[in-house]
Amino acid sequence: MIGDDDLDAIFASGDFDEEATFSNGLIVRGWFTDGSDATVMYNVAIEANKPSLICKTDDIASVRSRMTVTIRSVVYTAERIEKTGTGVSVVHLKT
Amino acid sequence: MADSKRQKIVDAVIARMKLINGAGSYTTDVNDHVEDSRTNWQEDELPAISVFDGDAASNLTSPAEAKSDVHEMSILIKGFTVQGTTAAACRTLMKDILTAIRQDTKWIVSGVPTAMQTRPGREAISREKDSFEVEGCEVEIIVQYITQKFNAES
Repeated sequence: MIGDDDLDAIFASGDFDEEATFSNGLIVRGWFTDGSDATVMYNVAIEANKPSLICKTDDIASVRSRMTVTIRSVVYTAERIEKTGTGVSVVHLKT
Repeated sequence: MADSKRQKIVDAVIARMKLINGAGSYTTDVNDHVEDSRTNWQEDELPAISVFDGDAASNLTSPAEAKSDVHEMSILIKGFTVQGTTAAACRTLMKDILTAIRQDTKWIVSGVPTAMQTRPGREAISREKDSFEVEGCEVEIIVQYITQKFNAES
């Protein structure tokens, strides 16, 4: 079973994690990805940016969608908070 | 060999959409990112426009043995933008597309009209859940043009 210590080791090891500061003052550490994915509109595919922050669900209990979050000096909006059910959440971001 | 009227009209629409440069009557700058039937774009290329020609219905110009046909062809102008902090970008692009169309609805090329007239068709905006940071719009126009029977060129 995954425990908090394990999650801390993953998200706060200092190796791959980033600091994220939410507009409510909350500061958490998690994995930030700035990848892209294809979306199709009117039969045309757009390879669109799809940034997200993966972190401990407990750490972002006070975060709501539409809050802003600053990561690497870039301000994003939290579009959607997806709970994976394993103590980890994915915050889908939009610039 | 001459291009078909269909090709001339599509080329004229593409050239017109390239006028959307953020100056004068235009708010958006598509930076020449307008292409014929392009089916994929990268987000960093947006705003961009793909132009598609669609079905064309033909009618005889007279009930007798007419020598020419009148065609009504659908053209789909599909615009894509980065959404940004508001959802206004695609509405603005749609406005600019309409501004460009009304400059000349007979699609005159080298002083010669390629079309008899252009009518507005459907307009739509798409903001889907999985579209991430981008949004799209589609403006349909119906272009009416005449050709000799079974002759695509004139």
